[in-house]
Amino acid sequence: MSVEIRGLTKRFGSYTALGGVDLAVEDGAFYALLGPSGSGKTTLLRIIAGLDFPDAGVVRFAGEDVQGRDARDRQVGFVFQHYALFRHLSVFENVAFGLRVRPRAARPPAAEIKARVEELLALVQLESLAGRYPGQLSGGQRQRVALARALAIEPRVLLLDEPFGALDAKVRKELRRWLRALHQRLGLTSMFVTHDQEEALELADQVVVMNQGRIEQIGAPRAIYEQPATPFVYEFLGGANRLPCLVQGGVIELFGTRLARPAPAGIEGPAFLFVRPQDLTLVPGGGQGSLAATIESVVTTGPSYRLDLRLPGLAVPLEAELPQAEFDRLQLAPRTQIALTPRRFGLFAAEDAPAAAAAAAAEPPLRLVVGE
Amino acid sequence: MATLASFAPARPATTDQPLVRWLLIGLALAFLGLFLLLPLLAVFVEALRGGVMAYLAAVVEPDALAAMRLTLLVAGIAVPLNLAFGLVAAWAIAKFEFAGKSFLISLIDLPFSVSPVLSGLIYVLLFGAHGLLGPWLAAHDIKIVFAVPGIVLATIFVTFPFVARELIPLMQEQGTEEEQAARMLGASGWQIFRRITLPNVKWGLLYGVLLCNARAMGEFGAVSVVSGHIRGLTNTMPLHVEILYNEYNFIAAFAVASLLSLLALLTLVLKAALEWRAAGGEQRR
Repeated sequence: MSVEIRGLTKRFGSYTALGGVDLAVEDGAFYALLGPSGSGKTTLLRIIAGLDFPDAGVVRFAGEDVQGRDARDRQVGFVFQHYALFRHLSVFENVAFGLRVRPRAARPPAAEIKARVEELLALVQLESLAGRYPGQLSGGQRQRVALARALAIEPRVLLLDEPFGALDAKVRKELRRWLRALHQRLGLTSMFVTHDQEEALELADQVVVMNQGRIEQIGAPRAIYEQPATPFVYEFLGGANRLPCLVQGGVIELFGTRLARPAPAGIEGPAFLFVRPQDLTLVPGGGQGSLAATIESVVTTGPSYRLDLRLPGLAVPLEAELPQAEFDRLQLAPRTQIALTPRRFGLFAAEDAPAAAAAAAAEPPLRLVVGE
Repeated sequence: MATLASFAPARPATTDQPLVRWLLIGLALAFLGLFLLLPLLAVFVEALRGGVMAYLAAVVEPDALAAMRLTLLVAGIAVPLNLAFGLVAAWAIAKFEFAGKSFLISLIDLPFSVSPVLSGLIYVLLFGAHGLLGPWLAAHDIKIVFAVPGIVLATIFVTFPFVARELIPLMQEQGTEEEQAARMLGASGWQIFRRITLPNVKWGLLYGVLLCNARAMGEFGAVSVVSGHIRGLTNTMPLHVEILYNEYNFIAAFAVASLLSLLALLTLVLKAALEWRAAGGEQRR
C-alpha cells in the first residue's frame, strides 16, 4: 500500500519537530528515514502510525486520508526501538496478541491463531522459543519477536523505529541482511528510522535524509551518496571536507589555484567546495591545476589510510583517505609535499552553506565507521 | 532473601572487628525483641491466661462476633472502593500528562499526613447533628455519624493512599510503550488495560490491597471518633478491644486483640510471599 504525506508540521512547544514534510512512498518500497537525533524522523514515523498527531498536513494510505483513524484501526505494524514486548506474556502469546484482541466476528478460531503464530515464528526463526518470556531472550531474538508480532495483524505498512539501535555490531549486521531478505520476500511497504547512514544505505531502496524537521534529500542510496543535494547531506553522509573557494566565470579558484574542472552553472562568487576524503587524488610533488599541501599525519584504519593534510590558508587540516595499496604505491610519509586534485566534489554557493554549518556544529557529521 | 544473597560481597563491606559487628547485630535484635516481639507474645500469653475455654468464650461472645462482622463489613466496602480508586488514580497519573497532576498526587497523600483523629473529626463536622450537612441529613432521616456509614467513610479516607501509592512508581517505571504496542496491534482501551496494564502491576496491586486491608481492619483513631461506641452495633474490633480493656476484662480484651495480631502476622506472611513472587518475576524479565 502506498503512503503519501503532504505538508506535515508538528511543534512541541517552541520546538519544531516537523516543518512541512512531503513524502510519497510507493507500494512495496523500503524507505529509510535518516538523520541526526532531533531531526524529526521518529516524530514522522509516529504520526504515520497514529501515535502522534500533526498540527497540519495530511497522511494518506493508498489515497485515503487516515487522519480520523485511530492507531488501532490503521493496520500499521510498528516495531518499537526497545521492542516493547509484553513482559508477562510468552513469545507465542506476544505474537498471538494482535489476533486475540480482534472483535469476536473478525477473530480467527484458536486453531487458526495457533497455525498463524507458528508460521510467523518460523518466519523469524524462533519456533523453538515459543514458550519463553521476553526476559529470557537476547536482544536479536526480542527484535525478531517484535517483528513477528507486528506482522501478525497483516499490516498494510511496516514501520520500524531504530530497529537495530539496541543491538551489538555483529547481530546488527546479520539482522540487517535478514530484514532485507524478508522485505524482498514479503514485499510489504516498509519504513524505518535510523541515524546510521551505513544501515540506511545498505537496507533501503530509497533514503530520506532529514535535518531539523525538514527533508534534505530523497533518493536511492547510491544517488544520495554520490550526488548529495545539500551541504548537510554531504557532511552527514560519509563526511566531507569543506573548502572556501571563489567562482568566477565558471572557473573555481581554490586558495589561488584554478581547478581544471569547471563549476556547475548557476554558481558565481563566494562558494564552498565539498569533497569526500576518499575523492582526493594525491601525487607527490606538484602539478598544474592542483593544490599544494603537506602531509601532517597518517593513521591507518585497517583497510585504508587516513591522512591529515595541511593546506596553506586553511585553518583545519584536510582529511584524505587512501586504500592501502595506493598508499604503499605512493610511498607517502609525514612532511611529504604533495599535489592535490579533487576527483569528485560538490559546489554550493556560500549563502546556502551557513545553515549547514550550524547543523554540523550541533551534531558532528558522522563518518563511516566500519564495525562500529 | 535472594537480593541479599546476590549482593553478598566477596570481601566484607567493612573491616570492623567481629566484636563490633556482633554487638551491633545483638543490639538491633534486642531492640526488636523488646519492642516488637515481646509485646506480641504478651498479647497471646494474656489472652490464654484463663485457659483455652475462656479464650474461646471471649471470642464467640455476641458483642465480639458483632465487632468482627462489622470490621469485615467495613473492610469489605473500603478495600474494593480504594482498590478501584487507587488503580484509576495511578493509571491516570502514571500514563497521562494533565494539568493539576502534582496537586492530585499531594491530595492522595493527604490522609497519610493528617492525624487519624482529625480524619474522623472532619466527618463529624460535615455530617454530625451540628455539622454542615447535619440538618439536611436529619430531615431525610439519614444517619451517617455514629453509624456504620460514618465508620466506612472514615476508613476509606484513612486507607485512601495505599493502593495508589504502591502502583504509581511501578506504572511510571514501566512507561507506556507496551500500551502503545498493544494499541498498534488493534487492542481497545479496555483490552489494553485488562491484558497489558493490569497483569503488569498485579503483584504491586495485591501488595497495596493487602496493606490497605490491614489498615482498614486495624484503624482505631478515625473510626473511634465517628463510631459512637455502641456495643454490638458500631464497634469494630479495635474499638471492642478498648472497651473490654477499660472494663478490666483483660482476658477478653487480649483474646480479641490476639485475633487482630493474627491478622497482622498473616498480612506479613502474605506480604513476604508477594515480594518473593515479585522478585521472581523481576528475574524472569
